[in-house]
Amino acid sequence: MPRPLRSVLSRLPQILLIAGALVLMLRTERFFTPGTLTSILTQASIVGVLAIGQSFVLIGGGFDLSQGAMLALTAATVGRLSEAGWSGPACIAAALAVGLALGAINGFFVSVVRTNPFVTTLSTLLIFRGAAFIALGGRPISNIRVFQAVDSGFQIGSTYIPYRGLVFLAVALAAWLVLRRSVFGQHVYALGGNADAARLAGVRTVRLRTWTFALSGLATGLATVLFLSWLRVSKPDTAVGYEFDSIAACVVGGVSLQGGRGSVLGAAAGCLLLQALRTQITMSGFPEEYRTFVTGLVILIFAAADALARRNERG
Amino acid sequence: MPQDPHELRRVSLNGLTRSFSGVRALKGVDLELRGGEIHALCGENGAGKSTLIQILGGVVRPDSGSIAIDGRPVRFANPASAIAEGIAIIHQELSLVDPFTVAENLALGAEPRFGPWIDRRAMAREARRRLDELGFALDPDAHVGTLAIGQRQQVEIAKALGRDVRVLVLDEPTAALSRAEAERLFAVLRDLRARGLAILYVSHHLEEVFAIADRITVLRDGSRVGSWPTPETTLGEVVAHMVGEAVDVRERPPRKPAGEPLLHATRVAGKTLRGLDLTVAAGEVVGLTGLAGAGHEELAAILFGDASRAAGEIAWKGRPFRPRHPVEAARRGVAMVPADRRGRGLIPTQGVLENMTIASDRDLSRWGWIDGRRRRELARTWCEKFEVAASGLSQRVLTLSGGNQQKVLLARWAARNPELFILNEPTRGIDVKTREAIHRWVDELADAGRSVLLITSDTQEMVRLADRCLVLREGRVAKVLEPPALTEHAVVAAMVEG
Ligand SMILES: Nc1ncnc2c1ncn2[C@@H]1O[C@H](COP(=O)(O)OP(=O)(O)OP(=O)(O)O)[C@@H](O)[C@H]1O
Ligand SMILES: [Mg+2]
Repeated sequence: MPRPLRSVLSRLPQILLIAGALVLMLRTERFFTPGTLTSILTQASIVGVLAIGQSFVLIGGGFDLSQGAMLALTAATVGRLSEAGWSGPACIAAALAVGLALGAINGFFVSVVRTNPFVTTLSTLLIFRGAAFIALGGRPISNIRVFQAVDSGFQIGSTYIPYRGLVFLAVALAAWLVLRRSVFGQHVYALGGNADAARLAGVRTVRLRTWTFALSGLATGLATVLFLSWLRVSKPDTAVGYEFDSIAACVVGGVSLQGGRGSVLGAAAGCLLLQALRTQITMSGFPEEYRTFVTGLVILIFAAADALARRNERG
Repeated sequence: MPQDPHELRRVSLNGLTRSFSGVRALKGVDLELRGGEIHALCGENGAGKSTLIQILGGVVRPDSGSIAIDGRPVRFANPASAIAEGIAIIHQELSLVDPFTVAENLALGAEPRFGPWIDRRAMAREARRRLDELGFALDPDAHVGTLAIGQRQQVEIAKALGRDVRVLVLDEPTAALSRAEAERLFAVLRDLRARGLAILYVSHHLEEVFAIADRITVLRDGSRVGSWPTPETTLGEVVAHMVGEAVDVRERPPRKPAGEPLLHATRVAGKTLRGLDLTVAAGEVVGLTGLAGAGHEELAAILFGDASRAAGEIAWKGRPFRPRHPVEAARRGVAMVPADRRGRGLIPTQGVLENMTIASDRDLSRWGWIDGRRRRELARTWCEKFEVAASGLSQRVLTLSGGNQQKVLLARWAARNPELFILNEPTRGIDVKTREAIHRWVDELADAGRSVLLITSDTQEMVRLADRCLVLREGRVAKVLEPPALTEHAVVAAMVEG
């Protein structure tokens, strides 16, 4: 294979990501407006925060299927607490704490008991979902107003910037810094790359793996806050399938399901691209059903591009 | 593998060139292999030997150049097409299926069948026959993952020879073998040569090369320096061709008298250890060796918190020492370079920088944030010190040549300046020049009052470095050898005699 082609191929996913974004933006006049762009950012924010948590788990060589159910259980808990009269900040702290704890349960089983991440989070998916039913007694809580303050924003010129989108961007940036620059983050990459070698190099792998799952839980707690500030309803079937959206965002953003590779910024970009795609489909007047179809197709294309890019690597 | 002696093969490689993202690994190399001849390929780490072999095996495609077998041009799109031409390759990094048994690995891809089922009896019988034929004392039912590295190497060789082979290529096959195991391999190779196989042999052990090869080709920086029939050249000349200058191999230097004893192990027992006593003093290099499973590997693992001991006491610098995790050992100034660099050493997804500094990241950080500048400086310093041939600190570690990967692992712990350094096969796969540099570095460690536990199957290295060599057998110290009684012959004899 000629050399230039080889180097293009090795960057295929990134090239596709940028090309995809450009095509979407230039397709229609209306699309490329501050209004549409910020609305994409806002709509992407909840799954975006989940995808950031998911990135820690994936890069560390794990897998978290329980995010959606965990969000529902956290929302149910917070709904109950708000009914009991807890204040906004107290509810935020509770959401984060519940998420962190639920994530730590996943982490405990995967790293200490050493159950398989797929099986573990599949079971906790069912457990959390069931627990959300039980906590709500099958009856949704509506009109949760504790997070009202989060559901606003501020004006720059003629553009309204909602806090939700800003939170997403800020968390993405912070997570990126942690993964790239901190000892913790670098060790997460090493853990996903070769756990045994990382252990022999002095990394506390059991503790670290638990933390990656706990962080996914923490991100889910934060996503719960964003979710409730937006919909203000807690139902047992809240956020069904969000875990797949978050994994899809990671795949499109180039985070390896084998562990050890990828970037949170990629995952965030992947999430934005998928959301833009959905918006574009809706705005072009295609029926809803096309969205699922196209989303699946896009994920497969990116996975294939990634596989092609890796083909020329040694080892 | 019956060979027709009239079917002598002639494999010509012409003008092979290959670059990897800007690095020119091969620059137009010619090579000719002939049936009934053992051809050795020598060169420094990163000279392009493995790349050449990977082209011959269909693993890597050349940018230009051609291969011809008996004058007929061939093109290998993948490893299968090379195998179809009777070319068998034993790569530098082993490629066995760990959860499978030895017999299953040997049969992989060509399992004897009984209808749709695998005929396990025939498979075991066949494995036994092939191992016996090669003189390898391996249990066909053992799981490959539980074998020592030298034994895995034997499985790999037996596996490669199972097919109808006319050209056999071995990339550093003896790097992990003991002297006795290597001698057995040579007998096998001579036998195969007599049967008309063309053999290409890569090794950094030049004495071996001179003992076994009929012809020697030297590569330097991706180009062929020349080819010589073995009787027409000398070891010194070959080294000079490889390095571009003469390497002055230092004899064992006089050491300062050892300091006070720092490590005391008494009656340590575990899975293979049966009550072992050991004392290591500051500034002392203590060698540990033995056949696979004799207990030296386990002792290293126990000292580094990678295995737990069943009984016995260990004290390090006057305090009890019972590390339960490598990080606890590291905190007390103990470091270990593992023997299995692919499986237990390298982080394949990361670059030279991350791999080199992972053990030092905490020291290079403040409040958990790594100081990127200091980190790169540290990596650069050690790249220079060990002459790591890399295109930059961000080069992915698996794309380094084998010897350079080993240097990265040594540097990972050397950078922390440990007080007790457990070195497992420190110069495996490392070229003469760097080997000499590493030996001198061990001398420096000893001079600086550091303690070294050296585990090596390379008896020459043992004699060059160790102040005292413990030969283990069945979990106990069978013999203690000190210079002048510490000779290669004495070590080998102590390992095997009952
Ligand atoms: N996939 C790759 N990407 C980038 N560089 C590569 C790749 N494969 C090989 N190289 C480079 O090509 C050069 C030759 O490597 P090669 O493995 O052939 O050396 P070698 O002679 O086998 O060395 P050693 O004795 O250390 O095994 C090295 O500089 C190496 O870094
Ligand atoms: Mg090599």
